[in-house]
Amino acid sequence: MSYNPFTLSGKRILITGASSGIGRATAIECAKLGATCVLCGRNEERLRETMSQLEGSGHVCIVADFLNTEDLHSMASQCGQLDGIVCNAGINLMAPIYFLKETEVNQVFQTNTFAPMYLLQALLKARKVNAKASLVFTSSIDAANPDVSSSAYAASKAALTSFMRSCAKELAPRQIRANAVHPGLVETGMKHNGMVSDEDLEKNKELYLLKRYAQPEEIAWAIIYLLSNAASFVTGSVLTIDGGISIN
Amino acid sequence: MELEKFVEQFAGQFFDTPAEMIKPETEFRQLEEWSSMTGLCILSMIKDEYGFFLDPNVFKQCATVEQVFNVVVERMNG
Repeated sequence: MSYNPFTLSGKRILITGASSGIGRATAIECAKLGATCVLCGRNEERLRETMSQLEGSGHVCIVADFLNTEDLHSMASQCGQLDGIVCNAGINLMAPIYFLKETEVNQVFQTNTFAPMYLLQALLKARKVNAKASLVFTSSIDAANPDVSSSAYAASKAALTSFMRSCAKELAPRQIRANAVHPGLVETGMKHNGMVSDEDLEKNKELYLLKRYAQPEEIAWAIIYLLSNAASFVTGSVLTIDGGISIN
Repeated sequence: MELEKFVEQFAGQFFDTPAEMIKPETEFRQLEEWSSMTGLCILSMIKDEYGFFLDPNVFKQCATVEQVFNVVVERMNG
């Protein structure tokens, strides 16, 4: 039985932030479904760790800082023709509005919002994005419903989701699709930046209808759906994967 | 690091509670204005003023302002 509309066989997928968490899980699962992965990030050692866990062959790592114009052009020349791009790299900032600092806010927007914008622009200009390609942006439920102390992070992710919609409109003539995932909290090192006690984390989990946070793979599978031909009529959409907290 | 200055910084995280109501022995979670948001502001103040995130599990164990001061001093000296 070979029928599988979710297969990524024959697709070349670029994934940013693949050195940990959702990005690493996405790379591993994409490779299992037959994709050739292009892993991008700043930390070569951690990218290689992800690479060592990928099934199949032909995967590559490109060490690049997307905020560096030279790195962007170099990366675009090395990445090959792409059928999918997962803009996943991101950082969190948990600080009450009263304590926001310009440098930290800038860093959050640079990484979460501006880097994916310039990355995509560089890839489009270099003609590396194939017709019918799928773009997936890892945003957050905070984009629609910010939590306390997440103002800068939430704003950066809301901007990213908005950028996704612009991509969907501008790239539709080439049948390129753009979508975002809005995960709730995931069991990665990024949750709450260590500013919440274990007791409060457990209370927070109770707000989720499923009474737990997501595993990175559970977000990766949603990303894979959007990358696959199974989502061939899905563009400009947000897929919320939050264990039901948004309706609680 | 002085207790008096720390109490002042601590009191600065409350908007409606008069500063003179915040003393070393004050059980701050019993104050009417207290909320989890105030707690986040205090942890952020400690990060800004003393350069580290106080473990929220440790913070949770502190009942009075002076107990918070003591764990901050302990961390600074450790």
